[in-house]
Amino acid sequence: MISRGLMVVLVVFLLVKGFGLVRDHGKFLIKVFDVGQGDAILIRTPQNQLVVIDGGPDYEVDRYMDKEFLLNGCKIDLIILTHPHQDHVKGLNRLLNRCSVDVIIFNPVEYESREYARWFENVEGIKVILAEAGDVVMVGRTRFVVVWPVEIGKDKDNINNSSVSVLLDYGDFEGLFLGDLEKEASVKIDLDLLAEYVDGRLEVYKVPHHGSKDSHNMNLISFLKPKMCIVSVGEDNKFKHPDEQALEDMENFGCKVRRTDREGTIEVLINRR
Amino acid sequence: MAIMFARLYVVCEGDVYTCGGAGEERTKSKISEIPFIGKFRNNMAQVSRKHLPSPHSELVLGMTVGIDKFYEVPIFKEMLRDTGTIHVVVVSGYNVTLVYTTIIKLLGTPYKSKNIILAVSGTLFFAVVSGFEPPVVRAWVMGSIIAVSKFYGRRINAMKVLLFTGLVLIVINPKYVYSLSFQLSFLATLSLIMFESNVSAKIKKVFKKDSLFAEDLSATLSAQTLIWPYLSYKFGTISLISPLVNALVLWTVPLATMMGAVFLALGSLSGVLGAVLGVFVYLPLDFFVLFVEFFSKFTKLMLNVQVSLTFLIIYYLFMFGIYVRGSKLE
Repeated sequence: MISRGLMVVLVVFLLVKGFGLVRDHGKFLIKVFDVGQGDAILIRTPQNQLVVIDGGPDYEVDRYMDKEFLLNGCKIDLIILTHPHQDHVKGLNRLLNRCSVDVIIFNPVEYESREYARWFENVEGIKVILAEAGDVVMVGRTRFVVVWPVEIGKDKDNINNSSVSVLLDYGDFEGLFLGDLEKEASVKIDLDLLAEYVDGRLEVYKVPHHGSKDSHNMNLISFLKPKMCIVSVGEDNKFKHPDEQALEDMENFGCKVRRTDREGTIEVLINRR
Repeated sequence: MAIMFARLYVVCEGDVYTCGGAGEERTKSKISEIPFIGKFRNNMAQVSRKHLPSPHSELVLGMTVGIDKFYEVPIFKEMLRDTGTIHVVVVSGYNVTLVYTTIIKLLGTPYKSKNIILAVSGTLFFAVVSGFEPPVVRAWVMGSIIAVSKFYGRRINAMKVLLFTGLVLIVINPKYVYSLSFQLSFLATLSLIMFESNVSAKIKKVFKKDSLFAEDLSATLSAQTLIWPYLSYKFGTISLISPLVNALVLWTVPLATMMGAVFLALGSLSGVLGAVLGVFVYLPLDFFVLFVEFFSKFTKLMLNVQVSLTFLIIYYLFMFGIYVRGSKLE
């Protein structure tokens, strides 16, 4: 049934797709996927390990992740769930349906939702690390340092403040990913812990909670002086994120603001060693 | 291939099966709420999610068993809409034809009454499992009439059968008149009956020899002849890129549909079979996905033009005149 012509088309197509994969091979990339109002971030290490932080509000993350593989297989080295809100957990559940995952980091805070219940079903049989500030997880030569929460399973009154927050450290490159952490929690982050790993200015700051006013922490920004501030936010969202004043403050500190609602998926290529 | 286009454009804002305009009512059937069918559909969804990524998984479910999960990939759904390829996500007359011809091929000949009964019953079962949507019902009634007529050696006029089928369905369920999926399925089939042979002849002159691309292009353009002004009238948009994208990607649809059906059936029996067959289904689907993603970037080729009702009527009368003149000349 499959004619020779179709076979040729499919083979050429696979070669073109394969070329794209070879092009990214060995590069250190951060991709903040455009998943609308939510977070889904992929980190590809120079040793080609894949780390996913949150999965967004639907299955779009899987469409992006599929581009990392030639065929329909999927292997992820580390998944970090910052907190159990749907716009962070749902896409991860989709990935867990079909991907082989080595390690999972999350904070098992008490929260009731169908997607969070599914999360617990999906992580069964996978190595889980319950996140606590000071934990260090190595993925190849890339270090992930947990900077929040200080206590496992706390902050159930405001789930945003239970967000697992990690500092990515690779050579002299550092990035900070805070989930939806609000200011009342982020002011409690141990700055000495951050200072231990951050060399000079922070390279990438994933702006917490889609750039909301409540998450804007000037102390942290003035301490880290980030070079690039990435806001993962949906176009014309009902929450009116991000906060204009917060963006202005970040720009005033010399941080280049990039937004997924304006640019789509944001890719950061890291050349440092 | 041509009949595939009868599944054109039945997706509107937020609802795959019908459109919530004035005077329109939901026509989505409640077949999937029947326990056995609901369980069957859930099982299919689990198999496809385990072995295929999104939106490939959603595509195979839409193409083969009419399960609409495209709300899970809203950005991709928007791309399908922009490129005029969203019709592939719904089960349509094309699938009914595919099921019918497969059963007949397995049984051997369409000239045995037992085979006809089995094929018609088999397609009815498929129509029920896939949700018994208006385009499927239309195709099943129409296909059954044609199959029985052929069996008795009668010459059939496709136009008359289509009009008769439309009338019968409206008498049975008058709400179908307001169903956009029914309207578009009817219009696309009518358009193919009226213009496919002429358009195909002209395309063949341009391309000199037969090719899948030429075949798909002629089917797309034929179906679009009566569809585009109606879509423009209803939604205020005309996709200039749609015929090209359809011609480029539609060859993947029958391939993915047939392999997808085997994948879902055997994959629910064995995980290993699901994993192996998943690779084969993935290839045509991935080709489809990447082309749709690529062409969706050309948003300037999506025109915001709304034709008036007067234009629509004059246009249809004009096209009908062309068809009648062409028929007389023949």
